[in-house]
This record gives sequence, C-alpha cells and structure tokens, in this order.
Amino acid sequence: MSSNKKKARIFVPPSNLKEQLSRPGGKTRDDAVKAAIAGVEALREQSMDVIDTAIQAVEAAAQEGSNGTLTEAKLNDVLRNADEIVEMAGTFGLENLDAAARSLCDLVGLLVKTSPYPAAPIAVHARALRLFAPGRPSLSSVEIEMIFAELGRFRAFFEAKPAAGA
Amino acid sequence: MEKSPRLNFHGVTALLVEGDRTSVSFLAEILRRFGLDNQHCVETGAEAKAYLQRVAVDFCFFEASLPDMDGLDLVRWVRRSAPIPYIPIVMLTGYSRYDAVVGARDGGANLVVKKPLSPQVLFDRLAWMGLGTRKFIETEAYVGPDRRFKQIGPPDLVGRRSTDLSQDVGDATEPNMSQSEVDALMKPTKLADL
Repeated sequence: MSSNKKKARIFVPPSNLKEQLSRPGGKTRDDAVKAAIAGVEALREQSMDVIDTAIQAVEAAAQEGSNGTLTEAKLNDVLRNADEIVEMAGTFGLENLDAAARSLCDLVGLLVKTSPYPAAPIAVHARALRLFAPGRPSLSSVEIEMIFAELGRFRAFFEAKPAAGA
Repeated sequence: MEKSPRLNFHGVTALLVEGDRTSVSFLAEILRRFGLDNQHCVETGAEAKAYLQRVAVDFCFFEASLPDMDGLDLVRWVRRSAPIPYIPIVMLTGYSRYDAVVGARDGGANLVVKKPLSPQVLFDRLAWMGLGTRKFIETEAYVGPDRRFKQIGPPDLVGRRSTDLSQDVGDATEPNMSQSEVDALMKPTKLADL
C-alpha cells in the first residue's frame, strides 16, 4: 500500500441548521405534508397542459424520423419529455400514463445502445401515451393489459438485441 | 406510537437549481407549504455558482441535468470551490437518469431524491439531513458527507431497529487505498487460479 497519500480529514461541519429547524413553532410532519399536498394539487390544471405538450412532442419526434429512424438528439428529446410525463403522471396518480411513460424511458435506454434508432417503437409508445392521457375515455382492463403487453414486447425485443458494435 | 417531527423552516434559506419551470414550481410549492419561504430559484449551473459566491444558504437542491452542466459537476464545484463547501445538497433526478445519478453520492451530494417528488419523502429527507450531525470527509478523491451512516439510523431514532449499533468509525489510521488497490480486493478469482 502506498504511503505518500494525503490523510483523510473527518470533521463535523459548522452549521446552525439543526438549531434553526428545532426552534419552537414550525409545522409538524402531518401538517406540513397535508399543506404541501394541497399546494401541489393547486398545480394540477397547469400540469395537465404540460403533459399534453410533452405527449405532442413525443408524437412529433416519432413522426419526424426520416426513413423510419431518429437522430440521437431526437431520442434525447423523447427521453426528456417522457421523464416529464413520468413526473407529472406520478405526482397526480395517473397510473397507466405513468407506466407507459416509464416504459418509454426504459425503451429509449435500450434504443441508445442500438444504431440506427428506429422510430416505430417510439410511435407505438406515443399512441399509448395518448390513449392514457388525462381527459381521454377510460379503457377496459383487457385493453389496458393488451397495450402494456405490446409495449413490453418492444422492450423485450430491444433488450435481446445486441448493442451496436458488440 | 412514533412522534411526528416538527420543523421550523422560518428564516431558513434554500437555493433551487432546476432548468425545468414546471418541476421547480412543484418543489418551490412543497417547500413553501413546509414553511420555507426564503427560496431563490435559478435555472443554470452558472447562475447557481454566481449566487453561491455571494450568498450563504442553508440547503441546496440541484437537478441532475441542468441546461449548461451536469448537476454532479455543480456538486463537485460546491465541495471543492464554493465559499461554504459544507452546504447540504439534495440532488433531484428524473426516472430515466436515476441509476446514473446515484453516482451523485460519490460526487458529494447528501441525498439523491427521485422525481416525482413526494411531500412525505421530501419532509423526511430534510428532517434527516437537517437534524442529523453527519460528519464530513475530505480526501484527495472525495469531499462530502460521510457515506458510512447506515448503522447510525435516522434522527430522533424513529425507525431504528433495536439491533442497530451506532458506530463511530473515527479518524483514518492509515493512508487511503488507491482505486486499483480497492478493485484488487473486490476482484473475483476463479477457484482454479488459487
């Protein structure tokens, strides 16, 4: 073992945060959480618009692909929008939309290892997102199961596909 | 019955660094409802650096993907070059980058929180981070909170198991091992090679 390395310094950093947070007053966890949930709920309407815009962006990216393929930049755009949908859908308990958007994130994670990047699986996920979008008629459990089975098939296909250059 | 912790955020200051306006509005609203009114929001890493050069804050929240830099790099900058390098930092990450951002702990972030943000989780993490007395470590390769905290348990002992032992690891008695020396310890070896 080499001996000329700098010794680690371990110390308690100076901070008065603990004292500040522990002062009398403030809110209990239950009160704070209840108030925060109400605050987030007040943002629901504008968040539904954000979801719609993000789905539109995914749809547009899937259609813009030339010769059925996407550029890496477009794929990253899709990922950013899918992440945003996960955040919004998860916050407001839109379970199916959340699961479809997570599936899209996972798919993009697999697609970036391949080349060229096919647009078709993104287009199918975009359709699923649209079907689960807020305000759309609700689907039967059989239909939902079928959609997720199809999305899962895409992921399984690309999971099994060897990475580019492998 | 477990006691519900009470936190007084009045007068506490936070810097929120997040490029996405919707995300920052969620975080800001949750913190405001906790009672943390003194928030300053910026969108880029460069703005965050400029702000931290001038103002001392009590907490920082960094999004992992900023428009002009990686949130991890911003954490490293704070730990190495900011006027107050010990600020508690919460790293926020979206679903797709979570695995990559778990490495944020290696960069010196106190916590990594995955979006969507849950008020319950955020309150508990802030309580744990703010009320705890976690030591800091400064080495050539790492500056940040001590990551060897699993046996210490959360503040006020809520959620601790009776079998958990508190263990102060103390100061290092030997020079740090290099990464290759650590790797060599972990390297799987075939029985036939022994």
